[in-house]
Amino acid sequence: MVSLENKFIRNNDIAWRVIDGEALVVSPKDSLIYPLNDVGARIWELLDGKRTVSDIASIICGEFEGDGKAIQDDVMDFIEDLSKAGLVNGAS
Amino acid sequence: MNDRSNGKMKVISNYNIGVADLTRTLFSIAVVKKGGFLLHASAVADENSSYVFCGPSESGKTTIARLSQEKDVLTDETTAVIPKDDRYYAYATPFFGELGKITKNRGAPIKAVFFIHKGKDFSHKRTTKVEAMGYFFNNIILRGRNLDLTKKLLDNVYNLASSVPCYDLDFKPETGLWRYVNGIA
Repeated sequence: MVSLENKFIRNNDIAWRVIDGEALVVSPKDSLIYPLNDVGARIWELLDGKRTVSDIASIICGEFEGDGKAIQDDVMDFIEDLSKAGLVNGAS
Repeated sequence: MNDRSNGKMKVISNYNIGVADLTRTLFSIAVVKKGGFLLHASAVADENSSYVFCGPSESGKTTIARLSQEKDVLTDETTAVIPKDDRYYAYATPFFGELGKITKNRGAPIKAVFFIHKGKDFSHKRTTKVEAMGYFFNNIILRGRNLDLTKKLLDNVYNLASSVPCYDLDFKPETGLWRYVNGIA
């Protein structure tokens, strides 16, 4: 379960690239690919292990249009999905 | 055994199976190091250019090769995509499909890549780079990728998607295929 105070960092074993604002994330271990849209790509870039989920949600609120609470919930859900897929790890 | 003096490699196996897969994997790694990759795709060439039709099994690669007999069919199954002189070339490979050994052993600069889907009519749309890269990754032939190899592939795929127009193509298997394709690229 992801909470607003948690920090996450991209898994070092993942290959990825941002292209024209979108991103392609590739997991070599299982040969799975994850295309990310512009919002997903921005969140992915921000997952540096230093920012909390709350910090990231605030940045996304500032850069994209939408209801603040809905964006916060979506950011949490997205990071939880990334975590379940093994693409990010919890950071202290 | 790798004889560096003549660039040839001899593969010896104690088993009757698996040599073809091993050869294809070694070939694939060599192509990646050259900046390209092996792709599940048929490729058809005219005098100065080639067209690549990429897709998984049953997507229509062999069907398109059959509809292209008046041109040079480079391969109906496995295309080597390799950069050369600031362009990307499609090359025939020894890994052919249902049509057997019908390939012309040559390469030609790629004019367009089509990600094919059998349909009831013709339609197409230009893909974004990320969409094209996703299709490429799903159709690259290389098992057991490690992180370094995957990063190299990501670079190679990005460079191709940045320099060659890529399209989603729904097609119906009939002779009007090339009239439609030539209207796109």
